[in-house]
Amino acid sequence: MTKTTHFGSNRNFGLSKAVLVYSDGQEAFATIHEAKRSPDGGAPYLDAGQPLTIDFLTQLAKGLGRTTRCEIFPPNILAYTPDMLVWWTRPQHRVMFYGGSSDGRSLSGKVFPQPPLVFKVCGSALSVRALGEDRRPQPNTPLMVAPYWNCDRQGGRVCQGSMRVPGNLCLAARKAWENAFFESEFTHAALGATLTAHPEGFLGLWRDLTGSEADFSVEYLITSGDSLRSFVHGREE
Amino acid sequence: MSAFSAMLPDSVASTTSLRSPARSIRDEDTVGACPPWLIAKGRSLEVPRLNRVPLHHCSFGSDAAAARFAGVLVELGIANPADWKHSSGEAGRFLQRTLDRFVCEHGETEIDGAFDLSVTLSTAPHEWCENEDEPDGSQMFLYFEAHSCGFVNFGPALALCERAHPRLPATFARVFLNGIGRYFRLYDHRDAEEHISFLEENYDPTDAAEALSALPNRGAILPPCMKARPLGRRQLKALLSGMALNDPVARLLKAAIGLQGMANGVRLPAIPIEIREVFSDCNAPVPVLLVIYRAGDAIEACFDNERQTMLELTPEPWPLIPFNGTDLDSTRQAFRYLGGALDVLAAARRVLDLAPGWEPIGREERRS
Repeated sequence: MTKTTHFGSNRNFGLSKAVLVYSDGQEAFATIHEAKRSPDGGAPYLDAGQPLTIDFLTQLAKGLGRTTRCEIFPPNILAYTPDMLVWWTRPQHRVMFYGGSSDGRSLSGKVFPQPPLVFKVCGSALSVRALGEDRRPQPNTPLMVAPYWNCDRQGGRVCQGSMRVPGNLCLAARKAWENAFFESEFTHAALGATLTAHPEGFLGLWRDLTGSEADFSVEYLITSGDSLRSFVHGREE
Repeated sequence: MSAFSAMLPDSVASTTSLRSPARSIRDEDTVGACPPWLIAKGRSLEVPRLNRVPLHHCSFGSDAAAARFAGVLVELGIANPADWKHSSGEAGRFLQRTLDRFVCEHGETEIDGAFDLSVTLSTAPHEWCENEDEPDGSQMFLYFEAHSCGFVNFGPALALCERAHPRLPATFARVFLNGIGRYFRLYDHRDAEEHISFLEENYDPTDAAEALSALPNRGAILPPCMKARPLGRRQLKALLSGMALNDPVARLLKAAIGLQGMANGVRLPAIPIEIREVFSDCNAPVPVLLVIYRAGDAIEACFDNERQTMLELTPEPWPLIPFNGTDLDSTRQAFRYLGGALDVLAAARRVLDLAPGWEPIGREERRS
């Protein structure tokens, strides 16, 4: 009879295999070895190696949770890896919330037009940029600064504060991330950061847009210096 | 990963070692007998050693709660404090040893000869229900899963009983099936009837007329001897008292009555609705035993038909015992249920041992 106990994340892993990489500085090859107990009680040793196979690497990746399910991409997906998801949204109207002690509190709970946006989730970090046009961005499309508080002007990273972060990163989680972004309170601007070209600044922009049924005026967006390509690859920098 | 010794030593390394002091060479050294700075080692392979490489890696997200639960088990006398030392002070290992010991003490060897089961002690009702929150032990589960279905043909046992009394076959079968069936899912004539009804309702009378006519006759599922009214408790007692102690029928019936008594002793706890809902999309539990009355009978045919889809969705674990691992009474009760379920299986094995023609089935021969 198999008897198993699980108590939360407690796990006990034993060393079973080792991968050795040999290189002459230009080329390399790798072998996989089983770790064996030394019969004399001394240090364990590595058994004879076998060449590393693609099948092994696939199994290893699976074991480490780096698998990607085969999924059909919705049309607004821009990039997707096991730990990163980038998508864009068309202009929409959404309710926005502001912290009760912030200068934006009089705007809280009202509906505002939103510019087209690009969202990037990397691990559990969310970044947001805006788009100057309502169409799918290309790799070289310049991205604009998302005109929101709690967003870093440099990389568009969102200070999540008390945001209820969705626990997963599957394609279906896009809506949950968008909701998490808009349904949490905006509390403060990044220090010294200009977020909009509106003559009256951030609060003037959103005051003007309060309750407006028109689209967001993209002329108030400012360039971020990022292209879609650099925004997507930003995680690797 | 830097602790294993290098392979394929290069010539540069050999050159730099010229300044190394000479070392004594033991007589028994053969391959490595020459000083490395005089003769290159060549392209020989050495066995990489894992000096100072940790061989185990433990993650203890819920260690404190697991240790508290271990304390509860020790306090109840379910766990043996001496196991702590053998578990290297790891709560997870201690719990595993405790479960191993508990199952072993409740007839594991007997059970293994007749059933293919697993027992799990977990903070989740199934492995796919585990979430990222670290549990505090207040919601725990003990559950069984059958990996394949055991098998018995009770035909010869019924014939044996019938020779003693015409109503004894039905009596024996009822006592056995109701006994083990209180805890575990069996596949017997009732499942076959249900399956035939399902097929009758779902086959189109015109398009599938041929398939409909090929369905087994429901009236012929049970052998005639099984259609008799079972004996009452007093009648059975009177009949058995007139039999010799070593009479095979008496031994079979007494073993079945023993199983029934064991099963009646404990009632499984109710499963909270929110836990039941977790399994709403699961398949029914895999039966622990297929009971037929004649080789190739309708029950076997229905089982063969149903087993094709038994693992299509994850089968529900059964029995499932929810309990609060931070509460002494709840934990005591849960392990009492577990012990009861194991004792029922061991008692069922004792009945099977006495059933003519039944043999312990090797794992490779078991029915899936």
